[in-house]
Amino acid sequence: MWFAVRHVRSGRTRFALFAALVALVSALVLLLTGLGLGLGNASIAGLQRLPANAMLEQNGVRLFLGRSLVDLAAVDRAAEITGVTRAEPLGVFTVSVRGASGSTTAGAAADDAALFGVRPGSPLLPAGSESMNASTVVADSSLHDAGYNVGDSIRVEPSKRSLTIGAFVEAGTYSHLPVVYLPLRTWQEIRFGPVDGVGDIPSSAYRQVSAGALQLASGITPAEVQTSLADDALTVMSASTAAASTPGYKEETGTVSLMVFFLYVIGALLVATFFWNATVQRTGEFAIMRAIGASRGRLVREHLAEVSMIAVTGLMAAVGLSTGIAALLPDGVPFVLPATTVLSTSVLLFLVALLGGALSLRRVVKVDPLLALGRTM
Amino acid sequence: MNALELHQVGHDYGKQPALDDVDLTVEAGELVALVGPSGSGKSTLLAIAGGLLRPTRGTVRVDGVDLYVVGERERTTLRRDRIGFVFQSSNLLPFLDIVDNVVSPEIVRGRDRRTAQADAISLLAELGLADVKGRRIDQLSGGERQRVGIARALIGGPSVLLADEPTASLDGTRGRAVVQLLRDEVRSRNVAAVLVTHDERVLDLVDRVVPIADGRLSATA
Repeated sequence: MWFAVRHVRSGRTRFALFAALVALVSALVLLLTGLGLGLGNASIAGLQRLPANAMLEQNGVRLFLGRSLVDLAAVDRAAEITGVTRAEPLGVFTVSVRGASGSTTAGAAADDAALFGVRPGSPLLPAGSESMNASTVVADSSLHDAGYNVGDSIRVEPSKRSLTIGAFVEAGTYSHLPVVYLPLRTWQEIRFGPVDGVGDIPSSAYRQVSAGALQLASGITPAEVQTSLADDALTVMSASTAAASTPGYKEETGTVSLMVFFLYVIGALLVATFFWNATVQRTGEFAIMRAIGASRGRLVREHLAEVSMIAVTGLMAAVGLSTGIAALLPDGVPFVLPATTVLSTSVLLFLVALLGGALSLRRVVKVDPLLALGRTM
Repeated sequence: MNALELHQVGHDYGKQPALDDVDLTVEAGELVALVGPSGSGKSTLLAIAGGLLRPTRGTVRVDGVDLYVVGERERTTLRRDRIGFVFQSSNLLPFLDIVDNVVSPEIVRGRDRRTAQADAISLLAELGLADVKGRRIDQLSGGERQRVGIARALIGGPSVLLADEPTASLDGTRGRAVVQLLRDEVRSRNVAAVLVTHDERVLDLVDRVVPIADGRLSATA
């Protein structure tokens, strides 16, 4: 790369400008990737953290947990199937919560939350949930960020039920809403009880949940469990499929993924165009190099070294830029960019740049050294 | 020993003959001028002698090795190790400084950069270009650039040196100075050299003049 280093050094302004362009496109890819991951995480983190690898849901509700109704007996029946090591009932219900008068300054306006109903002591509960009881809930720490504190009373609408926050835990979010864990029975009373909280709760309420969170033994598939259940009203799918069916998840991540895909294409075309033009302009130089004995392989290596230098410089700037911007983002912005994603995205961007640069390789290796004599014979 | 031998060389562009029945030998330490009008076949002959253009007929030997029997890769290596080129208008690489231009063939050969740099500076000084380290080629006159071009051609110790109208862009005095330099270096380094030129003012400086017309050398070649 002796020639490449000197060529880049001699045209440092031109190359710096181009590296800046690569950096901006790459930073945009990284930021959008982080946003996509953040949006996805905000949609399904509450489900992803559950210790379950399959879900039992109602058939025919497009795997929408909020709409799914499953008989509690069906969950218990699933637990008896060979290969199902655990089946825990789960209630999912999105509600508005409001700080009870006088207990907190937060919640003057309603906040939304996802109520996850589980049996007391359920393995689905996150660590630190010991304080949960019939009137005490444990909530994701993001609710704390919204201004609520331990000991605050919150009133759940529409049931008007008042609950006390017993602890903040890492419960995650569901459909961008903080997950609030509460006992299954309380959940059933809120979900199926009267809207204004006045009147009887039907006895059937205590037989219904949204889903069963299943832990299947290694080698057992959701389809096999579904076959064993032999109930057309129910469906069993992998936990990842269930999470991906969260309303808005595919739309959000799909939109961002499409933007990221086009940015990869734009990045490749950008590099290809730059190096194509550079190659056309440098035909004479390549011919001289060939005439003085440089092999085609040497020209290829020098060319790819230049592409690599630009790409690496641009990517390093992009990582710094996107990390800096990420640090400045407000707390509420769903943005997740782990180091492994930065690394894998950077490697992919580097390969895309290399591919773009490689498009002009044919021109490089086809240069006729005869041109060094200033003639085409 | 003849460092460069062309035997029965002919070349056609399509059905148009550009060279025919060319026999030319150049001994080590000899500077031969190839003169003739435009289109006479001088540059075609130079390209063939330098391993840049495969002839339609005949053989070309450098140090006894037939350039066109070997494959493309080996020919490139032969060009790298045994042939030096001095191009019209010097044809230096614009992104390299003066010393790096001279060093560049050595880098291609895989030589150590520092040793090659020291040799290049010493060679440039020998050719009348002192204190050039770090200087750019656009700071040089046309004559000085040609000296750099000559240094680049000579640094690897080639057996054959091929110069393509090196005086074309120079005035008479500078042109003669460049050819004089070439002749001195060819003799002192024992290189077989072919100089393609239109410039009749420099012909008294060469060892042998070979006229070429319509693709054929004169009988005295």
